[in-house]
Amino acid sequence: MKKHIPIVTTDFPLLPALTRWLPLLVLIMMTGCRKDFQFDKVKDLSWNPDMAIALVNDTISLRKILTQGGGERHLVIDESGDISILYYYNDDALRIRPNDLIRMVPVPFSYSHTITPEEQAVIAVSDLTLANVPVTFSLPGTNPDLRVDMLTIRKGRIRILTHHTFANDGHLNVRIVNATKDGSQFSFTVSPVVAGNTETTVDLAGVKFDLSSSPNKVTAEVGGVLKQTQTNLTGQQLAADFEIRIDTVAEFRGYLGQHTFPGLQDTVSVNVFNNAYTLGNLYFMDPRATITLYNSIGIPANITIEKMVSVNTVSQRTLDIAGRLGAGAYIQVPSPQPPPAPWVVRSTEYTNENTGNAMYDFFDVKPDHAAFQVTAVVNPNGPALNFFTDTSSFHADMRVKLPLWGHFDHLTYQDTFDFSLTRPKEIEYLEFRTHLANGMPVSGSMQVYFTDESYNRKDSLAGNDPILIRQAPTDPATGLPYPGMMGIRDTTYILGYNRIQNLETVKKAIIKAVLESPDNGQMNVRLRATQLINLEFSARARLRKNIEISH
Amino acid sequence: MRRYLTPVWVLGCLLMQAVSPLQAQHDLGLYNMKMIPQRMFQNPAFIPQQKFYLGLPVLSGLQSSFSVPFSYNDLIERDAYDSVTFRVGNFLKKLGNYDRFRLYTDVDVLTLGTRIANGKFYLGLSIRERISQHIRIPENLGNLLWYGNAAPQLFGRYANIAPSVNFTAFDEWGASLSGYAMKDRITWGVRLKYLSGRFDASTIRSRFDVYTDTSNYHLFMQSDFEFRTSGIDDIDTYLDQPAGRLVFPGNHGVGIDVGATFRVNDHLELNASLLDLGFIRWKSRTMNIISHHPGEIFEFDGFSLQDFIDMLSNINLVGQKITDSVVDLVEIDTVYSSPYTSWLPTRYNLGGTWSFNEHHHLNLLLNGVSWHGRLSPGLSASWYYELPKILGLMVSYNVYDRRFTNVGFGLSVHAGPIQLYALTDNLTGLIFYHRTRGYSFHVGLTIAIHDKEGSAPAPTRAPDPEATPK
Repeated sequence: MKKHIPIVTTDFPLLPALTRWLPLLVLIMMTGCRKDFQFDKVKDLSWNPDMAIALVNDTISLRKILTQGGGERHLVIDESGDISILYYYNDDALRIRPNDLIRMVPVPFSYSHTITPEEQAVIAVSDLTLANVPVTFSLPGTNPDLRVDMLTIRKGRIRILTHHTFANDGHLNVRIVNATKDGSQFSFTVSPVVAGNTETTVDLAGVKFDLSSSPNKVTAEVGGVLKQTQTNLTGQQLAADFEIRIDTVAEFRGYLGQHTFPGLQDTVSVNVFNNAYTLGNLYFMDPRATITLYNSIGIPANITIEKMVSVNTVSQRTLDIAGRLGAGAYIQVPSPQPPPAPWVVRSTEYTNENTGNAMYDFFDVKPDHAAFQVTAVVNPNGPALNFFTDTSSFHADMRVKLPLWGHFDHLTYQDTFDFSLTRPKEIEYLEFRTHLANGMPVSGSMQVYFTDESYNRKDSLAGNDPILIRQAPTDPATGLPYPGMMGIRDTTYILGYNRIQNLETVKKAIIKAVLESPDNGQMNVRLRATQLINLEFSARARLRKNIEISH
Repeated sequence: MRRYLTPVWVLGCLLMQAVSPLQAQHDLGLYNMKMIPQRMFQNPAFIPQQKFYLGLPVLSGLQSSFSVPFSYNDLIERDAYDSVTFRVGNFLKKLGNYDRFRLYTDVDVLTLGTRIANGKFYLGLSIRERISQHIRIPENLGNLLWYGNAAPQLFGRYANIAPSVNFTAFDEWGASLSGYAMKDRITWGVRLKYLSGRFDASTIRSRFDVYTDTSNYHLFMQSDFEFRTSGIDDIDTYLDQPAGRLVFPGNHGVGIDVGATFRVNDHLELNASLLDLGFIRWKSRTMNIISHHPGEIFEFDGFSLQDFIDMLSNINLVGQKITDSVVDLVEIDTVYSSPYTSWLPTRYNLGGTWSFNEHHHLNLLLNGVSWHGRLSPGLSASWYYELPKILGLMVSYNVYDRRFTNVGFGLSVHAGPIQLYALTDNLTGLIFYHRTRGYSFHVGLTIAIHDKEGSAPAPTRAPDPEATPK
């Protein structure tokens, strides 16, 4: 008996319809599904975000500004924070080395001896000792006034050229009577005796000549020994030529003579401001220059400043103020007391007061290079006791100090950096904000120029409305900003789509800032290392970027 | 009839008020499909009608449901030429309404159950693979990426953009025992479970506030987040482990399901269950990601002037450099081999059934899932029709995931010892998938054996004293 299943008939009348149409429904759904999940034609997405971000927040002290270009070695900051810019010539600008003062001429001397029948008789039965023969000669210098009391050789040699007429196993002895090496009498031998020309060299490094009893005079003794031989040497000859050459001296005492060193000069590039101030006017209240001479060579000297020139290579201006230095153009440097030789230091400072404002004129040129030339005369007063070791020196530091205290206008700072905007079409709108809080007693205007590779201007950030930097309120009595006060300026610049497109070919950006002290550049102000400027740059941009989905 | 319907209506209205927003696990329909033995997983007190059942491996039960903030049509626009446009703005708008991506999947590896002790108890055994996932992507994260930080939605406003990811995958080995009480007016059930964790990602804290100052465009960020993971960091070498380690990775846990039903009278039955009360101790391949300075506010106020000038040499990279600099501000610590404990998403069911007769039943179910401190409720009202031992049909109206148009459908058919069932909480979603924000389905094939004709059935229901003729 079949079981009755009621669902199809009475209890659930929709079921027959479902069973009939369900497969078709599923088929339609599946077909639709397959199409719905085909994504081979997906449109690109257009991404239009609105972004706002802080770009720069930097507090820059004047110390940082001045040292960013690697110019910290040109700065002097005292305890109060006052800044001075220092130009200085390196130690080699004027340096006299001891061996510049002494040049020795090579000294020759000779020895010869002929064997006598009596000596032959001795040689036939035993060794023969040849008596020492003294030879005296001078140690002359290129300067005829040179007087050598004591001299230790750093580098030198004796060259011996022998041309004997016979051969023997014996040798020649040479002894320098007034020379020692390592505390012992200095002597050497030349062996064996060889017929014909032979050359031998003996090193003189470390040999000390003590000529205090007879300056410049050196005595040598030449002797020797011939070995027993049955060969008849009667009439044969021993012969040697000596040459003493002293290249450098380790220690000296005596008199070096009078020397003149003309035309000592140097030129120094001044890069603290780079070209920042070449276009403006500035007045330093207290510019000063100092020449300091250091002498550890036992020799007096007179220095004459012949030229002190400021050079502006941009404007081609030069100014020589040497003739306005007055008594300061001549500097006497005495000899230190021996031994050990301490330094003798002599400084001369040049100011507006003692140069008739020549220092102001010097810096009014706004030099990017400064040059000087001096003549040095040693032993200017004739014979004296001179001494040195090869570590002694005579040199000068020449410094020019510019306290940043004064007034200026149109002081122009300009710098160039790379700038590239390769996809400007993706920027729809750009808003650029600046917030400048200035703690320095200077005001200024700033502009950013956008140029192509050839520096052709394409646009500028601020258009005809440069970014203003307000000066901090300044006390005219001190030239310093009132404590805690800053000059504040907020500015907003907007670059629309069309202007942004114009930047596509831009390769460079040029920042130009023109600074001046208060009262149109007439108030004297002091710039201190601790004075700050706070920069806040921020930008808001709306981008328009296509995002490719299908690839 | 009316005297019963009125309180049901009132209760329904109250529940509707209580469950907004409604975000629950799906699979609500199975709860009242009386013929399907697997509904024991919804309430262990639901003793199967069959004296024995055996779920065919893998085929016996495959349940999956997910819900997302958007439908196909919300995201994709197709024109007459079949060109596709992604509607990102619309997607973000939908994300503003509902920002959860939820997925539940249970696969019955092996299930079986049988009456024992002359039908006084029912014993069940099961092995199931289970996955639960709650991902929250805040609308403001999308707004930030798509509209930018200066868009009105974010400019000058604090916005938390931190996503939250909770994902757990584990094996469940369960043994259940059910029985009767109070002259069969009450059924009870309990399931004890050993859990073996495979993968886990737990978000303990997830806060990343972003604020853009409208006056100077400074960016303020405050982060406080902690993510714990197991088995995810080196997932690419997961299969390189020994077989024993793959089955039992060393992440042990326990859980319990309890349930009860109470038959008020011949028509009304109340029921409740508490499921997945348990935890897993994760020890294997753990990696925790923690913010180094929780709660600390970081400010990005720009670069130094020199760095900025250096960047301008290629302004197209400025965006990348800004992003890198901002991200660098947020320091993150990564801690390996640090065991942790995660709790399961615990489910609650509270329901009632009004049985008109043997065939027709009206059901009301309040469902909830509690995970990581968040309770997500759902509501289901269903009509269930049953031809005993042959057919079960269910039509339901379900409210969950802030969706109020879910019409569910369920079907179970017996053909001899074979039972086939399929059900969904959102039939319209499966058909009109363009417009749905989620789906759910549960299908299975079970060998289910009833009592023989004429043999004494199990005591499934005691006679109603009021219905007994005096």
